[in-house]
Amino acid sequence: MPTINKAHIKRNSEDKSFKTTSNEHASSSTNNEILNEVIKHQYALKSFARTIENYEDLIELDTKQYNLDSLFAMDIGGSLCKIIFFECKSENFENTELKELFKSLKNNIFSTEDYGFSGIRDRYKSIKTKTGCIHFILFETQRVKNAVELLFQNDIIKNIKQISCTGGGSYKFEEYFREHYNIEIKKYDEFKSLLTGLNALLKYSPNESYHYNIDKTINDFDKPIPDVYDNSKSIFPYLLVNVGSGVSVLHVKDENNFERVSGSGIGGATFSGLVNALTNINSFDEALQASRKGNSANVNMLVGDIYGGEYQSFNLPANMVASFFGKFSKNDSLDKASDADICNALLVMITNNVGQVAYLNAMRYNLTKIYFSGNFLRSNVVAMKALANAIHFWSHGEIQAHFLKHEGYFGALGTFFLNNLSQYNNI
Amino acid sequence: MSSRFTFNATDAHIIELSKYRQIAFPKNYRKPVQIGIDIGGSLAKVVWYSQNTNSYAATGGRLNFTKFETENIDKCIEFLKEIIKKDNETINLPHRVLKATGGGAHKFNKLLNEELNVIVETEDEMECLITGLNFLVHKIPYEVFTYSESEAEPMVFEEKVIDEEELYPYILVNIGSGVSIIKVTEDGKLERIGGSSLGGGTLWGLLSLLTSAQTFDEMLELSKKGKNENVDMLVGDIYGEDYSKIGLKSSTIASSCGKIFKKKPEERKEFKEEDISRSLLYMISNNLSQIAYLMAQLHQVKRIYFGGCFIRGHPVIMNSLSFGIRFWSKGTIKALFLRHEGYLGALGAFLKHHGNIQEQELLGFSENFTKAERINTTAINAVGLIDIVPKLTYFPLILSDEYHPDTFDLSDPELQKYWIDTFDKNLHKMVDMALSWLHTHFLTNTDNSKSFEDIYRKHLQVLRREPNAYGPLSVRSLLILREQCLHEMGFGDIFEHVKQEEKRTALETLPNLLKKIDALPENEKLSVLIDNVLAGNMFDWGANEVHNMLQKGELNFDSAKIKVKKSEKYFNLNEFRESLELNQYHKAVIFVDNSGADIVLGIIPFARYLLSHNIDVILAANSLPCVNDVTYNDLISIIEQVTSFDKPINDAYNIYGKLMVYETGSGSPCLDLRNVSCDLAEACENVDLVIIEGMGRAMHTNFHAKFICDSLKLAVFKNASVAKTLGGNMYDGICLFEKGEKIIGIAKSKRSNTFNEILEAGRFSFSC
Repeated sequence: MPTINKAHIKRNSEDKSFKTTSNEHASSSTNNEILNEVIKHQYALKSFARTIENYEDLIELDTKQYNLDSLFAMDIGGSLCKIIFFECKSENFENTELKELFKSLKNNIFSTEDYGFSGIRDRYKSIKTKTGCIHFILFETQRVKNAVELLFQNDIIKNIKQISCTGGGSYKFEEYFREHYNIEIKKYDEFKSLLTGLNALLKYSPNESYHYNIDKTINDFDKPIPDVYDNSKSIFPYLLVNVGSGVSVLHVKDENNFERVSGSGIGGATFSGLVNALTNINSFDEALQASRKGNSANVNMLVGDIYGGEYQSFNLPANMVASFFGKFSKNDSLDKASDADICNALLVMITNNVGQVAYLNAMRYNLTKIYFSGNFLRSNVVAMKALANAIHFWSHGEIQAHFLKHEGYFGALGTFFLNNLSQYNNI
Repeated sequence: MSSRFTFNATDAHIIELSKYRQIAFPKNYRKPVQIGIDIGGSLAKVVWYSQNTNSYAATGGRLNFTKFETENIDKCIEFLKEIIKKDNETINLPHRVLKATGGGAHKFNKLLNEELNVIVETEDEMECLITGLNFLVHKIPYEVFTYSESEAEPMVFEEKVIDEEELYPYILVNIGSGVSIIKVTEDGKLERIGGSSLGGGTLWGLLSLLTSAQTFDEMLELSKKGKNENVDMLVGDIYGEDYSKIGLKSSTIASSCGKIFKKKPEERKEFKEEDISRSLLYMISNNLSQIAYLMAQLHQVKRIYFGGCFIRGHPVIMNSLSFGIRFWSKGTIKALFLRHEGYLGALGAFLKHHGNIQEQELLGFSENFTKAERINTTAINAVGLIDIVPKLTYFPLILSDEYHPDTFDLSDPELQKYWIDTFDKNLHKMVDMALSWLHTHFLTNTDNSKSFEDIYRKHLQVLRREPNAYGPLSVRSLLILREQCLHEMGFGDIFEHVKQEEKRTALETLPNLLKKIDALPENEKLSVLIDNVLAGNMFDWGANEVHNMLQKGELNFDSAKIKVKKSEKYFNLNEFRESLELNQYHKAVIFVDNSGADIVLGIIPFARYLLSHNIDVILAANSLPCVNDVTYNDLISIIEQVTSFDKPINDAYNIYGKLMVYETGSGSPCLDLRNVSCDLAEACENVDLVIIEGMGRAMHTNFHAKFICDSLKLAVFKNASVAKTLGGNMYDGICLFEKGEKIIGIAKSKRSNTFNEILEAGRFSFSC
């Protein structure tokens, strides 16, 4: 998926208003617009509670046994490597040497939100617990080696014997970790982890999920609205659509019971890949920004292009897309489209398709609730709103799309829980 | 008495023939050119009816197919103008109607109306697609096929025309620029249950941007050579191995084009065109198969047809759609493809012309591949023209629905090669005959014979590469194609001269032969008669070995009798004799083979013998000429001559009507009992003995055919390969008698039209 562009993270750090922050992207007013939106989105999410309530149920770390290994969990996907760091209280360490190392580790991690070429720490996603704080860090998978060396410098690495890990990378990099760092990878199943993380946050963390009001007549219709749960009702069953590099669709029947019912190869990495192949834009976030400005009518063949108007008998409006990129099949249109138009078309194409696959699967299993997770939706307000609209449109309002504050981190978080919590160890 | 199936071509000149045609089809009787057009986002597809100008084809009219790029709609309009102009020369039609569908039917409505001076009637797109599909599924043999490269033979055709109960409900995934998914239920009700905007136009558009290919076909050609794993992120790229727990192989695509962004920015544009073409092709077709499957699940549908101009007979596209459907349905559903995939809408629009829907029930349709169009060079299937013929129907005495005419399965590449080589090697003999036919008709246009040779050889070349391009390859299909090519090039009965000559000598011999037979003791007659039939059957100009002997004058009836030996394996004449002596039979049908000695000295005396046993005899002969097979018209003339000197034949034919001659409706040396003329089928309903004669009818086809009544197959091995495969020697004669299996008849529904209905149909038929 996305290459990680840090523009809005940087500018928004230290809670400064973006207006007062100097940044190379700030020069463009349209950029401001999109940044504005993303920041608005982040602020909105920030206003959601960020603690785990009743966390005693959840976190049972035995402080006596603390070692550096258990503070980490990783989810190495096709494009992004998601890392969990649990910041416990340093007095928990009885061993002085370990305490020193922990301090040095904290120093490495908290001295910046921006690691090397691709790494970032999602500050606003961190979750406080009674015994500490869970932090969320993101690297590009191809730079996972840098990540290890940046985070674990100063001899820390020598004291890490084992890291719990999920995702395809837990297989792919197993040998590498063993050979280079003498670290064993303790593997957890990808979907089991994903659901453990998600279910835990849905259960214990208020406002983890939210939706959009798709009624455009309401003010602030594009503001995320936290979901309100009726505690007497089960959150199950639901459909989980994880949009990372590719797409997985899981039918979640209850806490311990799920099935991967579908998937798609048209996902986040397809977006990034095609953006790179078709335009001069090199990063995910730039592409998202550009997509805001683009007009995909220069790219897509619309119902109106074919019919000269709407297709009445099947109620297809003239401005509906008949064929994404269909206009380029005519050679003379090649010059008319800008990079922005192309980004817009790609984003809508992929989002629409994910929405359709999600909707069809929800129908198939009679589900009225769809959660979307995965890093394709990270800071991707355009895509989320498009998904919300698409699901609402196809289901005539019967099915609601829900989004998650910790978009792509559930796998890593679940692995962390599975590795540390006795509650899960018996499962 | 003239055949309803053909124009009386005997002794006629081409120009005279066309005059004859005009007499048979007066102006006010003939159907004007009708056009159906489907203008999509990228392509405009045209189906039009044309009057057949060729006197020797089995048809009065034909459906033609062509397509244009929508961008060049002017070219399309020019083309239609020409058709209409030509038709206006012979028929005056003040209010010509053009049926149009697809988005362009709305967009270009005014343009079409003004430029062509026609009334443009717009028909609903989805309805047209379904009308076209239903027509093809019901009327065109081997239209529907499955395609899977994991099978030894990837392309498998649906054998029989499908029953209504099996057909519905189905969904059609029509992939054009965009995609529509239509569900059709029993009562013909259709619903657009969904669609996708990731369609053919998307692939075309993206590849226009990413490759140097100029046309969609070039892009598809590129994809054939590409490796998607250089561009796509595979499960193996993420896991380093299979993710077997959820059943994902390491080669499964995790993310289409997912590898591109991982490259350094300066390397990102450096993927190979072939690789990106294959990747995007997979992306689109995988996605469509998934959406199609989900829709089918949701609507509890088991049949999924894929149509539209995107597929283009392209093996990679079809394989990946098939794979997707198989994968998601865990093998319970197969993707179905159509050879006329792109023309569903245009065909539907054509059928919407007044009366066509009703007429289609009363007519027969036969695909003609002489001008077969492969949509591009990568296509593995071809689109034939559809000739409109008199309605053909199931022969009523076939034992079961599982009847399959062809004896040999030519899926074995060696066998394919053998037969294609054989036809290729002997093509010059046909060309020689065609040339001499031209001379006897005082025509000097030798270009025709040259182009016949070229066109047939070109087809053979196509079939070498794609054996199933025109439906399943068989000796029968190769023979039919050769006849179609001859007729298409304007050749008629090219063995006319040979047949006349052989008929003359045979008829001279017949009175004597009959005398000799009559003088034989009763118990010896049958054996001699059968020997004569087999000897007569040697006179086969279609069999290469025999052709050489005949040409050199090395064969006469007596030497043939010596040459033909009784087959050890297939000769049970005594069983037939026993049944015959029990007076079990009341009516027999004989499917006859060659002209000359075969019919005159072999079949007629045999038929005369059956008549003497008080058995009515139907002689079934081809409607149209092929090689030296006796045609219906030939046979009528022969019988009439025999009646002049033989009383039993005269009485049976002219007085008591116990000897009857019917035409089969066919112009092939083989016999497909699923398609015989309705008259013959009607007449054969109470037949209790079926006799099939000749290598084409009783060996290449029908050797394994089972009937509900007793049957007798008479033929001579005149091909070494056939002899070897079936267990015989060259020039072994077979006399294979089989008792009928009176268990269940064929489904009556197969023969929906009675004779009267067919006659009725003649009044407003397409002009057959």
